[in-house]
Amino acid sequence: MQQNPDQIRQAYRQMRLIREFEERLHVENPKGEIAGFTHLYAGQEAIAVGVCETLRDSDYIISTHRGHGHCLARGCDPKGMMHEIYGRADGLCKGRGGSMHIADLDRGMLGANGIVGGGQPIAVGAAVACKARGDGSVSVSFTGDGASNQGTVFEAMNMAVVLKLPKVFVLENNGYSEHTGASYGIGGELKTRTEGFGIPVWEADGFDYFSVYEAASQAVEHARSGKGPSAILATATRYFGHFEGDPQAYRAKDEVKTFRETKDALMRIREKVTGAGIFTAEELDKIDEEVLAQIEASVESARSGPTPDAEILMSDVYIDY
Amino acid sequence: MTEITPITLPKWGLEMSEGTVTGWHLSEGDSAEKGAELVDVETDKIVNVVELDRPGTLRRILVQPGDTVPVGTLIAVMADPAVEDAAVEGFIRDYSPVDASFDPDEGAGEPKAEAPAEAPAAEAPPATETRATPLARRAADRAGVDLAAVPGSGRGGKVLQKDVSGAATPRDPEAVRAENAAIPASVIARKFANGLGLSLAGIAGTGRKGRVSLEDAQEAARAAGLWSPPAPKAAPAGQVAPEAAAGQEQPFTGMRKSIAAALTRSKQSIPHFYTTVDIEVSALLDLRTAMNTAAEEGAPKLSVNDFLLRACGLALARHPEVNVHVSETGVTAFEQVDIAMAVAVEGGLVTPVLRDVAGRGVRALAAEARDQAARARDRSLTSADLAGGTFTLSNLGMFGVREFDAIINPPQAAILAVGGPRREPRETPEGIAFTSVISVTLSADHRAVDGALAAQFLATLKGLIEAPARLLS
Amino acid sequence: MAEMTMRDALNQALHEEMERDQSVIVMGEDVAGGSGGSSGNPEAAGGIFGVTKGLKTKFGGDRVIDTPISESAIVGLANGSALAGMRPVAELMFADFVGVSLDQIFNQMAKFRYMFGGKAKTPVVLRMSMGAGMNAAAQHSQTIYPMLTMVPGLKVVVPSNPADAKGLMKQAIRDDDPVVFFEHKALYSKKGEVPEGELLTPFGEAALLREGSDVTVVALARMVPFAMKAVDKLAAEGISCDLIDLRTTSPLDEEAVLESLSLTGRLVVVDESNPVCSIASEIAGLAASRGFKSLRAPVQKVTAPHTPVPFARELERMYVPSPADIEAAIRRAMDGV
Repeated sequence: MQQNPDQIRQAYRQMRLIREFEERLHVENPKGEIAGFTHLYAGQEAIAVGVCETLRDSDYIISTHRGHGHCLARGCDPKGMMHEIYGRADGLCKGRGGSMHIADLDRGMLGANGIVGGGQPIAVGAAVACKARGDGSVSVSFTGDGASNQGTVFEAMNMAVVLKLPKVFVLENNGYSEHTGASYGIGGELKTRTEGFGIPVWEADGFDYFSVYEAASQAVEHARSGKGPSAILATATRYFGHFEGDPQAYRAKDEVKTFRETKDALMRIREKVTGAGIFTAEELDKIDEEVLAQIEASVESARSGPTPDAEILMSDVYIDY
Repeated sequence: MTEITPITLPKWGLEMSEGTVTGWHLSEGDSAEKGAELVDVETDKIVNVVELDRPGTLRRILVQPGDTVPVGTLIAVMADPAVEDAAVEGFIRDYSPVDASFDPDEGAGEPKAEAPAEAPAAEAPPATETRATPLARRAADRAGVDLAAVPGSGRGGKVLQKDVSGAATPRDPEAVRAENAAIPASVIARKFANGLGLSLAGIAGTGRKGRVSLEDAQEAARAAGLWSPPAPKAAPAGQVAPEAAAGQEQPFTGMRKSIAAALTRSKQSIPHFYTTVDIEVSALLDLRTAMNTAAEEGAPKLSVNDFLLRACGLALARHPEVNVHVSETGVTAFEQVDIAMAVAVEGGLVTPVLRDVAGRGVRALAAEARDQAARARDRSLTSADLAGGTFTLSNLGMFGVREFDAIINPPQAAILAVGGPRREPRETPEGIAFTSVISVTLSADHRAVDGALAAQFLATLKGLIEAPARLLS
Repeated sequence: MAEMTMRDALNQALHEEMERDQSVIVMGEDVAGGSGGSSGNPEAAGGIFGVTKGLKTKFGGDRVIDTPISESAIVGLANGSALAGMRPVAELMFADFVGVSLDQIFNQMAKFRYMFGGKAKTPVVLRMSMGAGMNAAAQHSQTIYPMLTMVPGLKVVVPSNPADAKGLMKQAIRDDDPVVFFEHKALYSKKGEVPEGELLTPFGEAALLREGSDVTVVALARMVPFAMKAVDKLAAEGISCDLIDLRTTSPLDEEAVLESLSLTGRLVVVDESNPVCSIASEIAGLAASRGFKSLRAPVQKVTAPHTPVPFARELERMYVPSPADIEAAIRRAMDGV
């Protein structure tokens, strides 16, 4: 699969955006201004971006509780997201949803989801709509290793096969379902399980943008061309706890450090891009600076954003009641 | 570098709203690199260490080890050594922490307190035949014990003399409470029984899973003579009406609403009749002066009203037919005389109740009446203070009123309206002499009190006041 | 008496009952935690709220079972092991996840005994955290006890303090019927006195936490301390209230409510759940049908609004009934409006 430099620059920018968005939230979260649960995606950037870079505007994605990366990769406004995470009236969801429920229907982003495994059947429903419309759109669900053990996921897979839907299952194994290791929680193998439903699986290195992009291109093309559902299996790690504040007693002390030093997705894409002479390190550094400035502005804006009022509390329960 | 960086108590995870600082790794004045360990913080779930997220110098430590503070509290300040102390102090003074608390503050909003309206008075229950030995009956009679309340240990539940002697000894309320705690009973039944010192032991429960229900306990208490169905709750204490603009209707305050409802109902539904009598009070005034003069320095002065309270108490004890509650279906008599005393307060009136007026002396009554009136005016009366009067005394004498008719405070049967003293000529064996006279008017509920009874009551009252030495016995 | 948090009181109850009865087993996601983790710590979580800490170390992996995130199967595990003679205590982590496992709860465990002619026994305790107040948003904050209280066959427990939590948990484990045990997450860290020694709190027995004569205030779970604040404040003004903590919603201590109402004539019900078909509605209905003659003022319901639980602090503070809301309701009851 060929990508032109503009596409690669865009992918790099998106990955950096996700990384710095999450690193900044990790610093901001303990200060107490951000309420509730925050689940960070840092470490898995290549997966969200690698998949979303293969999608069209008319496609759909559905995310998980660890949703910031998917949202940003799908093009959600970082400032609107930051305002939402800070619970502001002008956040993407008016401060009603927060980190765990960011959604942007205008971008085919059907929502982060607080229920593990809750999104997959919904994405199958979106695939029904894609097929009915007949415009070649696909529906993509992101599923963690933890969610892959939910009955809803098995039901969604079977349904997608039976109905021969343009549905792409992205299985993201980050090694842990909450505080339990994937090696303990998953019986058998994610790949063979999925293949057992008759769904072809493209495997990818979740730290390598190009590997994910390659696999996603093929999987998405399979679904788009009317051959039925497909799947991508990508393995990476999360750099932070299950939620912010998680003491991570289940993890070896140097596990994350080793991943950061040897496998980091941003490090990897920089090495490949500069090594191939597509961009210089200085060009990429400039992007990094722009991203940092953008995030600084988002946080500053979000910290002083408008607080939601009773009207926001009471409205939108129904459209008409 | 002029930047001053706050260090706040971190929020680690969903549940954390506060934490305890357990130890500082750096001292004031220390400089350290990013990632250096700064302070240990403990929650009831975890102990963790706060690391510096940038290099810097620790200028001030604001929370000492062992102190527990909310998330977001400023616990330390970092700043370059070049930053003036005054700037650091100013930063600390102006810092406004994040409110990451979970529990709401207590409510704002002005109180709109309203005291209770009356509860419907219930019927006195029918007497039941109790099986008891003659000795037990005599013992019960002497001890004033209601045989029906005594669990009988004899054959077929017959009450024996030893059962009565056990019942006549008042039990330690704490012992009863402890005993009741072990008996299956509803919480409300237990509350009720504990309040009366009633043991729930031996009461057959009809509630869920055989628990003693409130009804069971009430029946036992009534039978034991410890309780009768609810007495009325007296007129309300409440709020002062705000000023209304001229020409605009000012809605009733809760207190006025409740006064309006109770008195309208009383005046419309109770067949009131009125009996007035003049009473000479010269002897009473002399007695009062003598007692006040003889009183110890600083003792509260007795008022005419205190003597009137006592006189009413004795008169009611002599005419228990007036010391009753009236309902649509019947009359409940009370042994004890509890007199409600009307006290004018800003925005209305309240009627605190003086207990056992017939059984206590003038000085004791005076002290309590003063206290109740003061508490009425500063609105610190409780509903218990207002509940359960059997008669009401309303005195407008201090306002120069000669005589007036009062509205009965249901379910009581009568209220006495007292006017102010006046000098009147009286024919005496020595010729015409001036004497002090008051007029008192009894409003009575004709359903329970007839004219002759009202007249007898007033005659007794008049006798007591005109020969006031008897008020001191 | 020892002062401890509700978290520790529940933990103590689990320890004592597992010690006492070999058939008590614990299961759920991260009840131990750390299985398959790189640290090798076999008990890295002890439950995400710390309620099951120390159990695996003490009683071993056969009795303290870490499961994958599969709520339907977790409840199924409890159901089947109960039918086969164990006394499982299963954790659903958040009450909202009942949504994923509802069939196993309301079609299965609740109905076995009745459907199977009275022969089955399903002594399951299904634990879950609930409640708003921590900005966990719409899918991690609900108080769905009304939904499960309406299911015949389930017992439903909603403690408000550490001592009750312990006594009710021990009772729940020994109870032969399936029990859904709701733990309010904003109460886990609240401390209270817990009596030493054996503590069993019977179901269907409300607690009377304040005694008064003007208003009956009925509350449950986190609304109990809130109501207590309001009641204590008003007591200083001469408005005295009975404060009833229901403790269990199934069985419901109807007598406690009706008897108190018969003495006060006024009723305020405080319920953190949404207003429609709530415990507040149930108690109001009870007063209307069986306490009508006692009522001297309209029943005041204090509940969350008919909306999902919002995320932002400002929104959630508006959503959750506050002591001020309760105080206002008591005053309305006194005013008869």
